[in-house]
Amino acid sequence: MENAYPDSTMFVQIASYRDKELLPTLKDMLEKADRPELLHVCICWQHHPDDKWDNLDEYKDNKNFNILDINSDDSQGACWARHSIQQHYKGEDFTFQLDSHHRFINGWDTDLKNMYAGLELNGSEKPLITSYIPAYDAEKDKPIDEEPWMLSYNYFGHDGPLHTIPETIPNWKGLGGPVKSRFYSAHFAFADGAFSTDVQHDPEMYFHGEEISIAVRAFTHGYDLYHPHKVIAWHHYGRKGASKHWDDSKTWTDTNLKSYERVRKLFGINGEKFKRGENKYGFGKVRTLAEYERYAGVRFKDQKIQPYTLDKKYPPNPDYTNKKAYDASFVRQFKFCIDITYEQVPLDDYTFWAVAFFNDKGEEVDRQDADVGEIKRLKNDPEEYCKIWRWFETDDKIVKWRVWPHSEEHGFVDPIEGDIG
Amino acid sequence: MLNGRKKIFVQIASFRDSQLLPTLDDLFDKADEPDNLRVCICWQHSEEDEWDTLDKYQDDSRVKIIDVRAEDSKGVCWARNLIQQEYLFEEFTLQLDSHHRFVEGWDTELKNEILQLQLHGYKKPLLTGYISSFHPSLPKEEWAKDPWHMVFDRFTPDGVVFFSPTSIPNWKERTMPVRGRFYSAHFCFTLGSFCEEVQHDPRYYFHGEEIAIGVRAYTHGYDIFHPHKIVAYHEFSRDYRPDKHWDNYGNWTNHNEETYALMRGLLGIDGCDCPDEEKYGVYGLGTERTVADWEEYAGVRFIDRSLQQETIDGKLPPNDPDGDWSRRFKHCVDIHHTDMPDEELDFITVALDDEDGKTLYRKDITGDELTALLNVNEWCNIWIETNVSIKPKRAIVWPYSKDNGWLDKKTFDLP
Repeated sequence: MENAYPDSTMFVQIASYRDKELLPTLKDMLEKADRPELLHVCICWQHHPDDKWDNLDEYKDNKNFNILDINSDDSQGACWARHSIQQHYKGEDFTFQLDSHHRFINGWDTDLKNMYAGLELNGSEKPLITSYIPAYDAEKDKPIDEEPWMLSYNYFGHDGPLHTIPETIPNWKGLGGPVKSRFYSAHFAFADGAFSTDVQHDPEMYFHGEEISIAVRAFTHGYDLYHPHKVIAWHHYGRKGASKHWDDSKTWTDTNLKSYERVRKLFGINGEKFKRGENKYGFGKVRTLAEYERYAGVRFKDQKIQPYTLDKKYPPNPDYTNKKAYDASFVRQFKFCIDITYEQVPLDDYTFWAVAFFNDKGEEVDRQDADVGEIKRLKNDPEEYCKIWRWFETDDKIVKWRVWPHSEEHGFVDPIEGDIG
Repeated sequence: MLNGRKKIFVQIASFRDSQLLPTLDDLFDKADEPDNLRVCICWQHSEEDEWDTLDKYQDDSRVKIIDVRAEDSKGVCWARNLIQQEYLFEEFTLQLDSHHRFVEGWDTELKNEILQLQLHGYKKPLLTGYISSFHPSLPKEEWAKDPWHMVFDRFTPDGVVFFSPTSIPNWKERTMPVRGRFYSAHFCFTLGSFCEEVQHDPRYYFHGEEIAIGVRAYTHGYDIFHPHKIVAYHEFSRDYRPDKHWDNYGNWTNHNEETYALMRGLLGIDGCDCPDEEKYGVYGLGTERTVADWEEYAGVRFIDRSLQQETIDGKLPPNDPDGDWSRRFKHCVDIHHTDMPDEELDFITVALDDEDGKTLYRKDITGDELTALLNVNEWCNIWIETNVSIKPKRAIVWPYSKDNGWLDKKTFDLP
C-alpha cells in the first residue's frame, strides 16, 4: 500500500491578519498538494482597506474556499479568529491548522495523511501532529532550516502561561518516525476533523497561554501529541515590519492580562479557579490534568517541573508508583529575561557584569555574571537591546534583579535594578 | 481495519523439539486472526521422542506438515527450503524456529508495522531480529523486557559475520521500527514474495546463511528493519533440548566447509570470485541493488573484512558513506583445560602472526585475567580483539611457567 486516506478531505484553517504572505502561502499550499481539490480552506481574512497586498478575489468564487471577511479594526485577536473559523467545520475527515505565512514540500498532504496513518498503525487512536516548524525566509522565498523541530519546555511565566521553545529534533535521522510531544503549536496542527469541535480555541484567550491550554485540553480529550520527524512545511517567524494585531489594538494589554487570568484559572495556578459555567473550553473526559502532568513532567499549581523534562527527554516521563517520590520529583526553575537598553550600558571597557536575583527577604539567591563574551553578544542583539536570560532552581519568591557592570577604567559603576511582578 | 483478512504463511523448521507444540499453541492463541494463518512445519522428528507429537494438528486445514525422519534431515537450511516450496501466494510470510512465545495480537502488530513502513516509502520492508529471549522454565516476569536489534560482532576466521543482540537504543521513544543491517532466520516477517525471491539455499548448513540472506534480500530491494516493540520471544539457550541436528549428523564439518565456500564466493569475502549464475541461480543476488550498495549502507566491507566505526559502535544504519574504515579482528581460541600445562603459570602470551611469521599483535594474559581464564571446567576461551592492517594467518598461545620459563607453543591456523 502506498497511500493511506487518498480521498479524504481536509479542513484547512488559516487566520490571517493584514499579511503580505497570505497570497503566496495559499498559492504554494495549493501547488504543492497532491490533491488540492480535497482541501476545504477557511480563511479568517482580517484585512484593512488601505492594504493592497492581500486581495482574495481569485478565491471568492472557489467552492473549496470559505472566506470570513473581517475589517482588521474589528478583529479581537488570533484566538477569536481561529475560533470563528472552527464554527465553519463541516465534517471533513481531517483538519489542518496553519498561520498565513508558510511554504510547503511537494505532496505535503499525502505525507501528512501517511504519517497520521502510520501513528494509528503504531497504536494511537487520535494522533495530533504538531510543532513549531522550521523557518523560511520570506524575502528570498526559500527555507532557512532543513531539519525538523520539536518543542521543549522553556519557562513558566510568573503570570501563568508555560512558554515553550523550538529546537532541532536531535536524533531525527535515526528515529525514522514522529516523536511524542508534550506541547502544541497553533501554526501547525494536523488531526482528525473532529479536533475542530472537540478542542476549539477559546475566543477570550489572547496569545500566550493559548498553546499550553490547547495541548492539555487535547491530551485530556484523548489526542496523542506528536512532532513530525521530517519537514512538511516552513513558517515565517518574526515578521519584521508586518502589522500584528497587538500593534494596532489599543486594548491588547488588558486583553492579555485577562487571558493570563484564564490560563491560571484553567490550570488552578496559585489556587485560582473558574466559577461554575464561566468556562466552556475545559478539559476532556478521556484523561485527566493529573495524567497530563505525569506524562509531561510539569505541575501547574506550583509551576514546577521534573528534571527529565528540563533535560528535554521525550515523554512520557518515567513512571513513579510511589506518590511521595512522584511529588518530590518536581523542582522549581526560575527563568527570567532582564531587558536593558543600550543607553543604560554606554561604556566600551566592561570587564564583567554581576547579574543577581533577590528574594522577598532581600537575600541574594543567585548570581551568574556576564563575561566579556556574553556582553559582546548582548550588545550585538538584532533587536538592539540587551536580553540577559538567567535560570536557576529555587523555591524562593524572586522579586528583584540587579545588573552591576564593572568597567576596566571606573571599576563598579552604578547598578541597574528592576522589580519582578 | 486496513490489514484485515490478509494471510500469513508461517514457516517453522523443527528438529526434535519439545517446544514445538507449545510454540504452535501460543502462535494460534495469541493471533487476532488465527484462521488467516497457514503454518507449514518441517517436522524432523524421531519415534523415540514420545513428546514430539502433532496429532492435534494433523487434520487442521491451517497446518501443513512435512514429515521427515530426523536421521534423514540434511540440516536446517535444507528444511527451510522445503517449507518454502509450499508457499501459496499468501500476502505475508513469517519465518520462525520452533521455540517461541508471542504477544497478544502479534499478527496485527506485524502487519501494521509493514504497512506503516510502506506508507513511509519503503516498498518491501522486512522485519527481523534476534528477538527478545524467554525460557520455558522461567515465569514471564523474568523474560526479556526490551526489544532487541542486531549489531555486528565479528568475522569468524572463515569469513562468516556473527551478530549479537542488544536493546534498541531509545526504544521507548520510537514510533517506527528501526533500520537494520542483518537478517535473522529465527524471526523474519515480510511480504510473501520473499518465499520465492530469497529462498534458503538448501546447500548451506548453518553458519553463513544469515549474512548471505540479509545481503541477498537487500539486493532484491528489501529494506531491513527490527521491530521497536516486543512482538514475540525466542529461546536461545536450547539447554532443554536433547538434540540438535549437529549432535546426530556425522558429516557436519564437511557440510559446513561447503557452506563457507558458497558464502565466500557470493559475497566476495577476502576477494573471492564473484558469483556466477550457474553456481547460485535462484540462490544468488538480486538486481535492484548490489553487494557494494549493502556494504555502503551497512559499513561492512567483505573484500578486506573492514568496518566503519558506526558499525562497530552498533549505531543504526544507514552509515555515513564518508566514515573511516578499519580492519577489526575478533576471534576466540578455545583450548580444553586438560590441554593447558599442569603447573603454575606466570603469564600466557597470545599473538597473531602474518604469513611470514611476523607478529601483528601480542598481549600477555596475567593476574586475575589469567586466573579466570584457567578456572573453567571445560574450555578456556581466549578472546582476541584488535585492529589489524592485514589478515592474520596464525594465532599463537604460549604459556610461561613460574619455574620452567617458556613451555610448548600452541599454534592455530586461521583459514
